[in-house]
Amino acid sequence: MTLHILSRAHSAADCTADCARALADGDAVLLLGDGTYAAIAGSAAIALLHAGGQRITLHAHAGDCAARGLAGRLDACVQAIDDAAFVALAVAHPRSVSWF
Amino acid sequence: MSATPRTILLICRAAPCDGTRARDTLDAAMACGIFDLPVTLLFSGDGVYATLAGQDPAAGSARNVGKMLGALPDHGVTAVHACAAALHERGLATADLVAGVSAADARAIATLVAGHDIVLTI
Repeated sequence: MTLHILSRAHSAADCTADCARALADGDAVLLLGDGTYAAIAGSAAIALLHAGGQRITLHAHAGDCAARGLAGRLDACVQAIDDAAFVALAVAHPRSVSWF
Repeated sequence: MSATPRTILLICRAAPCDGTRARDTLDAAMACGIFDLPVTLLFSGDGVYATLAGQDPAAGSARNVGKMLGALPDHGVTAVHACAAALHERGLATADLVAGVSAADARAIATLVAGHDIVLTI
């Protein structure tokens, strides 16, 4: 199980594509910083991450979302998480990959 | 108790002349090889440009990333991959690359990531 981290905005779409290619069943994707823009409902990034059909979970840092005015705009498949849950997510995954 | 060294996957997404990230990746790979740490390299995005054969930075300037790649087997590093999709998007084929670099499709990349203990993106 791998935790994939996306921290850059849409113009870095290649990072999202590379992440999508590396996904396996059971992986989690964490959107941090500018990566939270990908959590907006209907974003191309979410479609790209699901395109391969892998069974994955999507999470977005709640504080980073709020800072960017994204609360209430998140896609239904994205779970907003606080710092404690962020730590739990990292602990639960033996490896993490940051795509930038 | 003998510890089995953890396996390392190094990912580079930066072009060879774009800052030092590509060179830093190869330096890290060589260090792993020297200390017998099992290491695999994956170049994706603009990083695939670092695997092109025939690179020749102006004499006396930056180190030649292509030559560094070619020297990896001497340091015990032989697993070097380039993202097939990134190559295709850039009009490149494996024949254009330094010898020993193999193309990895999405399935292979997912297998690489899941198959290593530590994954570092430089």
